[in-house]
Amino acid sequence: MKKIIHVLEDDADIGELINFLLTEHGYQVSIFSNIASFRQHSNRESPDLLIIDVMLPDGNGLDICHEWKTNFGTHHIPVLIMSAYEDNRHDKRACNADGFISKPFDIQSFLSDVQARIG
Amino acid sequence: MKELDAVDDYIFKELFLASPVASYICNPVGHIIAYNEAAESLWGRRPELGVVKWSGATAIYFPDGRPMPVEESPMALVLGEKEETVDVEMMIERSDGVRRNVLVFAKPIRSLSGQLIGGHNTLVDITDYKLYEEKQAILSEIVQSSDDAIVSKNLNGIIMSWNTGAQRIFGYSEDEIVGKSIEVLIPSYLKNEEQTILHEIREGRKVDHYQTIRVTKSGKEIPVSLTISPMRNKQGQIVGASKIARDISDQIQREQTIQFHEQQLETLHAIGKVISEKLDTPSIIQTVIDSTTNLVAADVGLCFYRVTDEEGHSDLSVAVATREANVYPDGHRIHLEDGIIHTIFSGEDAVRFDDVCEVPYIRSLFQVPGHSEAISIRHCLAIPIRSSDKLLIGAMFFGYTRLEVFNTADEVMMRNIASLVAVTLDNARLFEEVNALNLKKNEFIALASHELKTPLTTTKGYLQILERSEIDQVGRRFLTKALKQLERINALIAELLDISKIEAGKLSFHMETFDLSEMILDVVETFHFSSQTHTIFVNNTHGDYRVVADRQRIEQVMINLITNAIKYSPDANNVHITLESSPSEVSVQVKDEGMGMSRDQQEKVFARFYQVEGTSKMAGLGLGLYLSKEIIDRHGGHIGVNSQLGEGSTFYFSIPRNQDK
Repeated sequence: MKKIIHVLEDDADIGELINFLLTEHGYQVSIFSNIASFRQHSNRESPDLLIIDVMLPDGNGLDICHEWKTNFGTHHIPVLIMSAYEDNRHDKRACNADGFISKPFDIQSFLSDVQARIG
Repeated sequence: MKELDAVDDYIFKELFLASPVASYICNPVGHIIAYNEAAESLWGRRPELGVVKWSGATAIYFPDGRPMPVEESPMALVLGEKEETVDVEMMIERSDGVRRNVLVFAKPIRSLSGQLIGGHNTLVDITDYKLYEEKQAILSEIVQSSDDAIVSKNLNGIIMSWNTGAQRIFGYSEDEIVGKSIEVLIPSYLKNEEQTILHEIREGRKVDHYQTIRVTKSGKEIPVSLTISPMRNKQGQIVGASKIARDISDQIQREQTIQFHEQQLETLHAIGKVISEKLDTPSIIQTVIDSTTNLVAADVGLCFYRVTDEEGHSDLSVAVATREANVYPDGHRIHLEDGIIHTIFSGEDAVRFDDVCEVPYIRSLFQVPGHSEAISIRHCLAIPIRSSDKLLIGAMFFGYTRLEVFNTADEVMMRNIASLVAVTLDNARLFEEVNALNLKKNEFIALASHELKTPLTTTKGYLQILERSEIDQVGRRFLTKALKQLERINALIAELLDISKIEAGKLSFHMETFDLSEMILDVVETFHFSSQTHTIFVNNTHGDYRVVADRQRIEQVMINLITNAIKYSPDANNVHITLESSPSEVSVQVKDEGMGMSRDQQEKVFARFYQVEGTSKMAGLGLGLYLSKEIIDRHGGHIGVNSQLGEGSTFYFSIPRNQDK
């Protein structure tokens, strides 16, 4: 059974890159370019890991993190925050996240971050 | 009988000659035939008997100083039988030129048959008495004409004399008050004062410039300044006191006026201080309206002012000050239409409303619906607040219940304060604009990070994926270079963003406890991978290097110092790092064996955009050390450099172990 990873990333090229890396390593990946489409899908399928970019066209990824981490049904699912803006690492909404990936990232450490959370 | 006569003659002669009163005798023609010693000393000469006529003095004068012809002298008048006796005052001149005042008694001498056989004259010297009398008259005149009350009293406090000044000040006439006790002038609550004063007087001491209160005949209390001195009789005994009282109402009023102006200045100063110290507009306005209302003695003060919110909507806010608390219930909204404010101040500077009942929109400002306790404001002074470009940006309304207070209200003062408020509002507007711009700048920084780093992220990913694939040696070489360049771009972007954050005051720190020596060893390890040219030695790593600091930022400083050490010592191959710790701080030295720096260069090296001259190929923005200094400074630490040209440089920094100050 493949582990499911949901990725919220509005930049199509980064989305494609992450998709490529994770699929290559045997994960089942869904990329969402906005919060609305992510919500629609996450109702039907619960992921094993969530990777969220912060600056999204229809909202802030940190809010989604906070929402998931304070919701009884989802708080156990690991969340990785991904941002080009270092200050987001210390945002209080990100404090419940399981990790912070700084952009640009090293693909090797990106993969180890993922593997550390879901094996 | 004859013998007896002879004896009589002798006695009368002796009496005449020995008398202390100057006397002389003339024959019927007027020749002096006899005079006594007293006359001689009065005249200062010995007139020749039988030669000098009528008077033995050098010259004679009427009492007012006019020369008196000798034919009109008392002796001439008596001997000419023009008058029976002459009893007058006159002046005589002595041989030494001194004039004396004398009383003259001239009488004819007749024989038993009544025939005129001569005349005699006695002269009483009254010069000293006259002088004393004149002096008394002058003194009396001074006392009478004085503006001050000059009063004398005996030791029982009974008034003995009373001048016109006293009458003017206290209202009592001399007849009314002489013989009465001085206590009628003393207010009942100061009765003890008189005992104290009398005690001082009995002891022979003077009471000088004593300010107190006295009561006039009409019952009005007035402030006076008293000077009371003991009065002595000829034997030197104290018999009473003289008292000079000055009405100082005017002086007191002047002092009060001065005090009032001082208070005004102080308030203005305080207001100015509040304006320059606080930045929160509502609390400035509240402070200003509170103190102004108090200062201009208004019962209610209102200050309307325009504030603009972040979206650019502007609204009239109001601050209320009342002399008595709870006049306006909490939450009571005072409203003023925008249009009305412009109507009130069309053209005029300040507007006085003598009766607010006639102006409903002013009256309603001070009314609280359903609140009967509210004080009824009758009069109102309205002052506009205009910005530096003369726009009406607010107004102050001062409400008064009493007309007399309203009439004396200091309009100039209010106008001055209004212009201070205008400055405040202008400043607040500028401050908000700056804030808004700063907010935009921060948004920009976040956006720029995102936009600049997104292509970097993908490119780095692509290159790393390529790196894993099978490519030839040339391809691998350039791929490695491309990744290095990418790292450089990334570092430059990070520096630029940090600078923007410093300028926006947004460089934030995230303090945690970590071991500085471990952190440095980690950093050095990454350099060992990347630097093929230099070996980095770390000395003295054993010890307590735990600090509370921003790990990432200190790491940034370390990377910067090591990068510089390598960059500026291209011909050397060693870098030495030495750690030191003390109970209060930890410090790090980074020593290279490079080109070194002149004193001038050392001074500038921490400045922004500084590049050591002649090192143009040492690319960079010249921001690294500037950022490092900012980071260390913000940790409460110190960063510096020791160097000599050609002998390498040692950069060092120290930070306190704990950030709690």
